[in-house]
Amino acid sequence: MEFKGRGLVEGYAEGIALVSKEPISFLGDIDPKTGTIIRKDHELYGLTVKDKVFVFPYGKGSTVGSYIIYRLRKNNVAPKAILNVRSDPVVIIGCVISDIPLVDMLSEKFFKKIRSGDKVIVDAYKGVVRILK
Amino acid sequence: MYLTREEEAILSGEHGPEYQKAMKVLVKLGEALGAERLVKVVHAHISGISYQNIGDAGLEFLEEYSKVKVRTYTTSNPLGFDMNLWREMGIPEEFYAKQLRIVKALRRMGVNETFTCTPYYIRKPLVGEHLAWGESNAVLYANSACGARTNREGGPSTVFAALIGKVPYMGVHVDENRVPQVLIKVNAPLRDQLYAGILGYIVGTYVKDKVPLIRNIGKITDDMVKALCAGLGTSSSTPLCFLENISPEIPKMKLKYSELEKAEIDAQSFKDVIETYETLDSADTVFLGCPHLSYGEIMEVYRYIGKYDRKAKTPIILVTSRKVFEEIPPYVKLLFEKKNIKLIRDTCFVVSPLKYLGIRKVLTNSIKQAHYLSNIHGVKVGLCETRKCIGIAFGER
Repeated sequence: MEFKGRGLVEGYAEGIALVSKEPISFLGDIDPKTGTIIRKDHELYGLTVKDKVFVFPYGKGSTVGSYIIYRLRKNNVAPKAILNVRSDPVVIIGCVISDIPLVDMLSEKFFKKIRSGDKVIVDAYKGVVRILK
Repeated sequence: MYLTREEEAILSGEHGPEYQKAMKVLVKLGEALGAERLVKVVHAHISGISYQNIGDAGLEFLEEYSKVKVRTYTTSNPLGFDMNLWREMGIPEEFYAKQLRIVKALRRMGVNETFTCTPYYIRKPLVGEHLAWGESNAVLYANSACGARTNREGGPSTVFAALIGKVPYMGVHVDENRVPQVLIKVNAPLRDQLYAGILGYIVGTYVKDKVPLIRNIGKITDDMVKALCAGLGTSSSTPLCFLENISPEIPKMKLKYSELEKAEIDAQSFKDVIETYETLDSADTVFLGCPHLSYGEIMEVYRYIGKYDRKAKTPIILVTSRKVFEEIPPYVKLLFEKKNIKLIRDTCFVVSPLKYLGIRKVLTNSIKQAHYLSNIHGVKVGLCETRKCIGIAFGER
């Protein structure tokens, strides 16, 4: 199934989806050394964003989050791509400086459909996301 | 987005990979948020440079980008400690070393080592100037008291804006977004910085991201305007407010008061805010200097303590910028030393590794400081007027 969004940071990625229903604060929620989600009350606690297509509604919290995304990339534990309902400046800046493909404004239908573990192909040049299952 | 030929060249990498990335950040932000072009800024103020806040991630990032220079006049926010007093403050070697690396990276980039949250004391913005400032109190002061134009930039975006010397032309850079949406009438006297700060805090809680016009505040001092901006920045995300008789843009505005949402604030609201904090008649530290003290505020403390012939029982910490610190006459510093008053610079308790300082109970006149100390550091905080803070430190009831 193919969904059209807005390609914000160009790139192409294939990978397994990791889906968070909650917004993400990169500072505090994710360990920049391992990519593990470390906030205890988060639904994905203990899982890693490494090499995943990381799906969450939008970013929140400290602008230091952009530096955390950058550090994930330096440590080779960054997600392969990020998909949002609406990207905020923290995530946009983080993805630009880390060359992580970013697509937002995907339909509500997409977010209802996508599940952690789905195989997805992200074409952020065109803003197109395909769920392969 | 429309780009000039030079901007295109930077984006295509002709000035090297760092400038290319910086330009790409500005363009992507502009595209995502609906800007048609970039606009030149005369002053960037970089926030988020305390190692306590940005950690190794921020340190590595700044070091990597320190190969290149900023392209506009740039100042910097406070550090995690006073660079001259770090040993006395109990800062561990490792923390000091990493903070120093951040300072050196900024120096290589050509950033002015101001280390203050009051860049408007370093260079006061003029009406209509475009800026790229981080630090919410400074943003609100620049827009509201000076009539300059800056959005609330985050730490990283201030770095990219400084490198390029431009920002996306959007938000309060644009005329149409510089109009009040909520009319606030104040029905209580603003006795000093404490009350001005709390007013800002109450207004911010009410307006959230809307732009307020605040009336009936009387003749408040510049120091009180600063406190008001700090309070407003703490509880809201608005970059701009209009202050009656102060904001330079008001006389030129065509306002239809009847079309604005209206609210009134009375004396009880101020009491309610104060009561959400501790009632402390003792503390281990009295703190004044959030935002950093002006020359006038420090001299006021100097004149006020003249009436005490003894030392303060509780240490009073006064925090300011290194610029203002240098301007304070030696005889004032000498008297402070004798009276158990510490004048420090470069830092702010909010971004300080407080655990090393052994501070548990603080008395302050700043709602912003009170808010962050209790929320981030779990410190007990009491709120008092400036003179009462000093009085309690000297053992008065």
